[in-house]
Amino acid sequence: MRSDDDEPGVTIALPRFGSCCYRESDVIRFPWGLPGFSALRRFIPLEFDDDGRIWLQSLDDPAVAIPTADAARRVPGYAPQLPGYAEDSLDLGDGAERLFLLVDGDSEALEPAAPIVVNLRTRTARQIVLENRPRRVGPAASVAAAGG
Amino acid sequence: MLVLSRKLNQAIIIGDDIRIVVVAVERDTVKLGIEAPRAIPVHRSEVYEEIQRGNRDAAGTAEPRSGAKPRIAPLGRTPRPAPPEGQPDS
Repeated sequence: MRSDDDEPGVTIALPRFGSCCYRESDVIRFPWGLPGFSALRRFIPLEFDDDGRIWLQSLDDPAVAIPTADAARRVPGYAPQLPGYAEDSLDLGDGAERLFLLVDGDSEALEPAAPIVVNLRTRTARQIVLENRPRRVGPAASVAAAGG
Repeated sequence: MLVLSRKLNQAIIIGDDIRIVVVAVERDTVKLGIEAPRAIPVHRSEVYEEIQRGNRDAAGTAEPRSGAKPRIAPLGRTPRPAPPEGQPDS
């Protein structure tokens, strides 16, 4: 059986971050693209020391990297009710392990109305636009602000 | 753009399985009922466009708060050990 250590690494030159090595199993697939980047399908998650962000670095367009934050770390209790198409398309039934990422730009406010939902088993993701929008969450926002 | 006139309770069909019905007309607001397969996301355009702009703005302007070299974020996995100093991280 092949282990993770056997998987060959690929080095990619990134215009913003320098070079980085990834393995195919690191790739997060976005089969439906992302709003604003509908043609981009493959990303790798990058982090920096002390940065606190997870950068979704496009492999289709190395110039594109979207800063996000792990909602569980930044907004305790964040557990939006996902629409049916999200659960179905990401195969999130039966308690599949999922991760919510929130776009974390320079505005110092997270946008909780459009979580990027990652199925951690399949490494497939989709950004979900919630119709019942929780309000934007600033750095010092209360836990209750980002529910549902 | 295709333009169709509809009256209250009249509908249009898109493809084989999307039906949009005019359920109310009140002054300058039209309420639409949308029947679509569960797999089809439906959004108000201004909400979706705001998310598009937010993604583009974040991707275009944000910079890492640290000057360190990037590494793969584990996302639920055990982090890989850092490579020895001076070695490539593959």
